[in-house]
Amino acid sequence: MTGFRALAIGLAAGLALAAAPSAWAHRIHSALTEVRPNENTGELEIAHRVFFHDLEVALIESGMDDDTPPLGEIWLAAAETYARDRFDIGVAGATLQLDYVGAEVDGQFAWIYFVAPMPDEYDRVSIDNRLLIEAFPDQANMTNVICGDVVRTILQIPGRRGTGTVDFPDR
Amino acid sequence: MRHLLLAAMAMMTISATAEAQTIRQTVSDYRDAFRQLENEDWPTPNEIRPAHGAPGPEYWQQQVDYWIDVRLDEDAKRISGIAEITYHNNSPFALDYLWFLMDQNRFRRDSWDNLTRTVTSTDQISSGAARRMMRMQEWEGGFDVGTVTDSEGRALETRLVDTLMRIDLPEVLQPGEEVSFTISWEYNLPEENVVGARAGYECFEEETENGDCIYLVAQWFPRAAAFTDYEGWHNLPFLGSGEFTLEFGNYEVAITVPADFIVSATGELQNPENVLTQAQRDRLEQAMTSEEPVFVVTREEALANEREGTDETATWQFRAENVRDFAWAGSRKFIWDALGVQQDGEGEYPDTVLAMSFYPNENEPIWSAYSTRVIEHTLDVYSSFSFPYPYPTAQSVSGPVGGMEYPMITFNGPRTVRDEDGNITYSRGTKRFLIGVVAHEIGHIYFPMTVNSDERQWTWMDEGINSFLDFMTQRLWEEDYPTNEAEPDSIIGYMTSSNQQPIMTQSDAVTALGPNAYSKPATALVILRETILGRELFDEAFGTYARRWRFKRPTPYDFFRTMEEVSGHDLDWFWRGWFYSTEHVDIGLESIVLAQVDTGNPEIENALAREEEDALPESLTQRNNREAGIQTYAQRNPEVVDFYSLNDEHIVTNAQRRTYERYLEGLEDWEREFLESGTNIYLMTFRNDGGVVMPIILDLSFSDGTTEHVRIPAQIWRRNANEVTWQYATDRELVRLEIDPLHEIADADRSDNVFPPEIRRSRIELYRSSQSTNMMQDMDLTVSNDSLDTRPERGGDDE
Repeated sequence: MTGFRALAIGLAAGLALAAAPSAWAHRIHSALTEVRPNENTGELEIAHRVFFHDLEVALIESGMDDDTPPLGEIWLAAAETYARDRFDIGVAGATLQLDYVGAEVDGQFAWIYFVAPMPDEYDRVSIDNRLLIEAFPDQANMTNVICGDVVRTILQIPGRRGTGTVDFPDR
Repeated sequence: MRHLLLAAMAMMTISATAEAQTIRQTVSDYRDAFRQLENEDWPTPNEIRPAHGAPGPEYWQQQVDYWIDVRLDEDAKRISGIAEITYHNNSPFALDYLWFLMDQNRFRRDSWDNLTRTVTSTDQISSGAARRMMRMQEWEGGFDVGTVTDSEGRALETRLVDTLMRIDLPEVLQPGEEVSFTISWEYNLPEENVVGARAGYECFEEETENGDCIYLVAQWFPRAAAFTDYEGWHNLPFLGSGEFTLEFGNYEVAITVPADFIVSATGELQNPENVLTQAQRDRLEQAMTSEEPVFVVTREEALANEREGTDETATWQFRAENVRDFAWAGSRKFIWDALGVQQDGEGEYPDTVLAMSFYPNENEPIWSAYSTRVIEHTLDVYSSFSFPYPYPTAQSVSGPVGGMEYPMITFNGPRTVRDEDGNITYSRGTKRFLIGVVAHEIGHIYFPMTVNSDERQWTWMDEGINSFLDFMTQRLWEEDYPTNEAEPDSIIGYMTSSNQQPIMTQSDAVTALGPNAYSKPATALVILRETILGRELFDEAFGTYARRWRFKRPTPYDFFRTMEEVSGHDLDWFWRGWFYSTEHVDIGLESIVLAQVDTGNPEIENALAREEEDALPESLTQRNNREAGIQTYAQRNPEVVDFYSLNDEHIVTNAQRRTYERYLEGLEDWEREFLESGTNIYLMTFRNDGGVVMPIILDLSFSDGTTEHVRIPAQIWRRNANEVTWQYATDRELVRLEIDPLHEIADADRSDNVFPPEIRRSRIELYRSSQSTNMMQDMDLTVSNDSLDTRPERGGDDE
């Protein structure tokens, strides 16, 4: 009984987060996120690269009007909310609060930018990257966490969602 | 060369982090990035697949012909069919049984795909997954096989293994023989948007719509599994991701649907007089020679058709020759436009190809504007890289599938948007997606529908090659068309990621299929064409591969070997780096040293030595003594000053002059000329931090304002794949160097690509600066009340 109740609550919570219908398609559904300390600015930079068309589909499915002009004020705000709600980053056990920088379109890609003050410790980074997964069940999200010249990757794909963690033990 | 006097001009020291993962030959850190793949990974050449990459004299492949009668039950959303199949055994082996692909069995509740689905998370489930799960509880797909009988009507033994069915033959099928048998079957069509099936139906059930549906029918009949020289029977199950490879054959298919349906299918319509009106037949004829697409069924006719409905049926008959599969689509909602695309069929293929699009009013106006024209453009570009389009039709059909390909027919998804007031809009992204996906899926009719590679084994052979060509197609659609998926810089994120897999990984094992099987191989081919081989050699080699293997079944090794043999380039190092490793490209500048020639002339060399010595700082003790007014002993007692006090060790002696004269007499004229030239020799040391060996491409700038673009072949790394020193002679003074100035090799870290070093800003920093609305302020410029002329802003100290 308890198990059933927990399942029901979990399902309801999941549906609340992922209310868009599925849309299977043959072309690539993948996104790349880079998490990179910037010594010049003292910030941790988070840059999401997604296919522009995929993002547009997801924004509309999440409630943005169909005819919202890309990169206008409303579109930029929708992109911020969308990405903020679907990407969590924790460093050394603490969840980072991200500041939105903006978004731009480059060819087929849309880029969405956030920053956070550079944490004092950067030896363990946890990522839950849920971008586009409610719109495209086969969405593959790759997050490259960069520390100096070392890159550690968290790959979140169907069957392998949830929070992933990388360590930089020598940092 | 005689002695060199080395003068350090500049030294850059940047940490090297070469993470070599390719094969090492010895106990030292030497690795042979150029070692041959023959006899290592590549199979031993034989008479079927020889070492030069072309089909060999013993090459064989099977042929399977189908006669099919199929019926759509619209109310039940059910397909029923009967097929007479003729299997030609062209192999040198006797066969006891035949295997068939039963892809619809994936939608049985007990299918391996259904049973092995994993959840994405323990604390949530996507609405799509929940909807599919609920549907699978109330609905079930999968083939209901009726009878399987031989030509005498006797039942044949069959055995089902998930999505494969074995048919036991009553007599052994000897080489060169053929066997015919009949299969009947039925299955429930899946609702594509709920189940995800690469095909299925979609109904329009909003308030303003009347419930009409579009039916996309694919992987819908028992299809013979491939039987090949390199694998025997291909028996990977269909789990949804890996696609398929099949045998070529001829098809006669009769499709019975409601009489008001328009049907699009692989092949050519054989009975237009029975299913089209005279007006439609006339328009189709007109389209063959038209300069622009012609509506065979107009928007208005399609709308009217939707509202009428009928209880009658019609049978559309299609014939397709030498295809590896057959798919079709039908709906009473379809608008239909067509355009005859002219080409030189070279006597083998049609000189006119009928490009056609089928779509509902919900897709307008972008589909009539772009779909058929993109088909036309795609045929033009792909044929220029390969061979004339080999079939009489090329079709783009709208439906619930984002993009999927079959011979002569493709399913494509992008659609316009209508609000409650009926306003129609479409986004920039939708237009780009439509152009991109139609080009991509139509391109698949070349690869792999004609060049019949094995999608379930090596996805990159069709998706990677096709992504390369659809990138070329989009680049040629219009200037600055926003496609950058195969631009080298776009793949860096994947190539530097820490848990990637080599391209040469079996499809079902690849975790990130998009970048692994689409983007990376496409980028590799762009680099091979634009940077490594050059367009002329690449195009000749690639075209040869395509022509050699059209209507045949290539493996990766046939591709690799053909590209090398035709281009005259040993490319094993390139395949090893890009297709067999997970290393990336990162070339860095370690140091630049200016070396000048020792002329041997004491008048010059002694003066240079003195200059060098004079350039050193004076002894601090001596300077302090002088500044304190302390005199040396010799200053106070000049009588101790002698020849050596007045002349340093760099004075030119007569003995040195005589030695130099004898030296000159012993030189050849060219040696004397070289000594007098004053040539600067720059010794540039490059590191390979990424592991993949690549050409070193340099832009050099000189103090006299001249520039030079230098392209050093990748073979520079042959003796040392980690670090090399290269020499460059000039009488000019080098002031700037940049590695990979055109961003053509996917260099992952550009911070060490420039001399002198430059501060590089991150993407976010660049974005922030681009968001400024006052560029004058940012550039420290100012204007005055009465002039627009800009001038430098005055600093605060000047006020």
